[in-house]
Amino acid sequence: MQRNSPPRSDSGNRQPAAAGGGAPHPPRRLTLTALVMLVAFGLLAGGAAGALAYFMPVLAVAYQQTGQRVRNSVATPVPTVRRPSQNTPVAAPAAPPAGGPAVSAEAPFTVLLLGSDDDSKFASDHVLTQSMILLRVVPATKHVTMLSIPRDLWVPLSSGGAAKIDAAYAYGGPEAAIATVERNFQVHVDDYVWVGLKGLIDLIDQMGGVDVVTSNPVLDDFYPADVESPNPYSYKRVAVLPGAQHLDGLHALEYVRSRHDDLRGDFGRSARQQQVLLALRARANTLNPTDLPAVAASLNGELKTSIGLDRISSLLALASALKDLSTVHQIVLLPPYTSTAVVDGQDVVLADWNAILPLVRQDFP
Amino acid sequence: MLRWWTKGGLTTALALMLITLCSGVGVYLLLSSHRTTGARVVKRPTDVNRPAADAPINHLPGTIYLIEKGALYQLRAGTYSMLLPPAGWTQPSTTAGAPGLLLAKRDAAYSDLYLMGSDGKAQTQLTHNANRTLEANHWAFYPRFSQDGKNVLFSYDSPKFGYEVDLSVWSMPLSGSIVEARKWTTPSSYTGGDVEPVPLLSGALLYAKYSIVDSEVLAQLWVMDLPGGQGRPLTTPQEDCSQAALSPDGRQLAMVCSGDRQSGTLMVAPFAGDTIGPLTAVVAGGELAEPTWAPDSSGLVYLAPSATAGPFQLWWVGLPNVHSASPAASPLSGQPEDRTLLRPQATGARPTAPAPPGPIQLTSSLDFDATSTIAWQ
Repeated sequence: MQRNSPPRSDSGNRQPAAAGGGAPHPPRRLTLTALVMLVAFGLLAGGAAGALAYFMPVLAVAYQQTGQRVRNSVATPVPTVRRPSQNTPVAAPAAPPAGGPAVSAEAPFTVLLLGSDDDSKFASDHVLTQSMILLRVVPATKHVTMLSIPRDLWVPLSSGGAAKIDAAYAYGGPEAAIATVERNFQVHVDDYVWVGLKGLIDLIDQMGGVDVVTSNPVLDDFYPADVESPNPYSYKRVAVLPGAQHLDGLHALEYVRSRHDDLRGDFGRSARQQQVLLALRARANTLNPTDLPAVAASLNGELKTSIGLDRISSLLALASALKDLSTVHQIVLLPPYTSTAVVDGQDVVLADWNAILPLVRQDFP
Repeated sequence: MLRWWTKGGLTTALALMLITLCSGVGVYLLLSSHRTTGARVVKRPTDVNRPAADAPINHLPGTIYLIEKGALYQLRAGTYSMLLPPAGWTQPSTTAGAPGLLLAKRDAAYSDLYLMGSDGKAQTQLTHNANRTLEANHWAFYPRFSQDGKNVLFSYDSPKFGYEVDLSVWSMPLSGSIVEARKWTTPSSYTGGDVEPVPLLSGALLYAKYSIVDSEVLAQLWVMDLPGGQGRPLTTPQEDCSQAALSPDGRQLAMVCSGDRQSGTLMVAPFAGDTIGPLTAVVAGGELAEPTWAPDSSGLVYLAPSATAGPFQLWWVGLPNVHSASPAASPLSGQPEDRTLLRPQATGARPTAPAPPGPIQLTSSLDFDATSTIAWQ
């Protein structure tokens, strides 16, 4: 091809010789065409490479952190957190429904949302899940229910023994957390999403913050400073003032994580977590696809989910269709559904399953 | 091949590589420029262009004091000037005849109150809440002059009991110290406490009290006649009202009531010293904060996001006819009146027009602190 190319000086803006009635010069036409094609190819290849580079964080997170397989086996307890009691009698509800096949895009589904303070107090991936929310979505009716599970709920773990439910993940990963929730609440969990607290902070920051009407002054003299301090056991004072405001990630976390000066304890915190989750969802409405790389980068290593790539796109479409967040049914298991007690020297929450299970069945059939 | 290479092929190849590279970089930058989070431009008030001569913000009377990112700004005749650079400043307040401006200055673990001249100079530190022991630090917020201008009322987290850290309303002589302070209110335990004091002409105190009702934390406006008194509610827990602002003529009370947690309604009610009339909704459906009366009681400025989300901007709503109603006999108000609500819109008449079509957005691309009160004199 190069050998047939005419001299470079002939490939300018001259009219083809054929226009003058003489013999055509195919080599000249070929050169011009080839040059145009090469330039077009260069533009396309460069553009594709640029787009690929831009969206690389999304691809990396999608490849590495979605579609995590949930095994049916239960991991061996790891002695990095408090050991579950083997002797405390806890009335365990019946075994959970068996795990079903993958759900279709239009079928109702249940996701277990897990949040952990993944700091250096814990061995990697053996963290407590300080936030556990069961999310039920019925795509056909756009009905959404959020049920906060008290982290201190004393239950039989799927891995054996009894402990606070937030330890299930620490002892057996997402499999144990799902199995424990399924067994106790008699629900079927289709998928799980786990987010670390640092990931939540970065996520909110990358989304430009969240707008929240904070419910009351949230003051705490013993708030864990584990996110910003090298000492995971240090603490700090926080004061989140009441009213409408724009919160960055760190302050949003302070709002949802503080619990010491709340008469409702963990229940108050659960309500605030649901509130910020809805605010995040509302904030997501204002994003566009070009925001995804930064959002994905913030979740690098801070997100795990069993939801596969194939379902994420349909779920994103569904999420964008859920515009009226005021209709989201929010459930917090306050007394009389639960009561407090001391078991094995620990302050725990005991469940009244006779009251809870009928409530759960209404929204999590 | 060599012939071709030497006769321009090298130049062509380099040009193609350059085109490819430029295309890649261009696409990357083009995508980056479309980020909504990155594209948001937040300016300092002093960096915004001067508004057009007929812009509503030029016609606001008096001087408004606002906080953005810990700095104090003064807005006068549409022009901003920075009075105090970013240093955790928040919640300016003043009143007619007061000897300057009160502010809180917030640090990581404590906050203190300051008195300063209206020009931001001659600062006097009124409290000293820093302590080497973390839990011995204190918060002081929402400073307000008493009606005689001799005392400062504020929310203060004392006493504290272990995990229980609730704010109470205290008063302190401007020329005194915290040991001379008097505690006005006793907060509901583990709720965050009592905030936003509003001294009344009678010497009584109006404030927002948080309580847990049916497992929800809700705000009520309360009136207290004397320090340590019993107090009585002006609004119901279900109305969830806070951020009260008394009009300069003393006849109207503005407040934000949040029936649900993600939106509030700006309410106005006639006020007769210790009773309020029916609540009238003047702006609904949004994240609304810090209503502040114009010096002539003709309307309110408040903070709200531009559209559905984002940093808080300054808005104005005129209220030419709202104060005609009479206060009810009962200290507890009824349900909000069922009337057509004004909804925010970005354009409209001048703020002093007799019948404004609705709220007017006065600023854009700013980021005012929505937990900071606005002072206007």
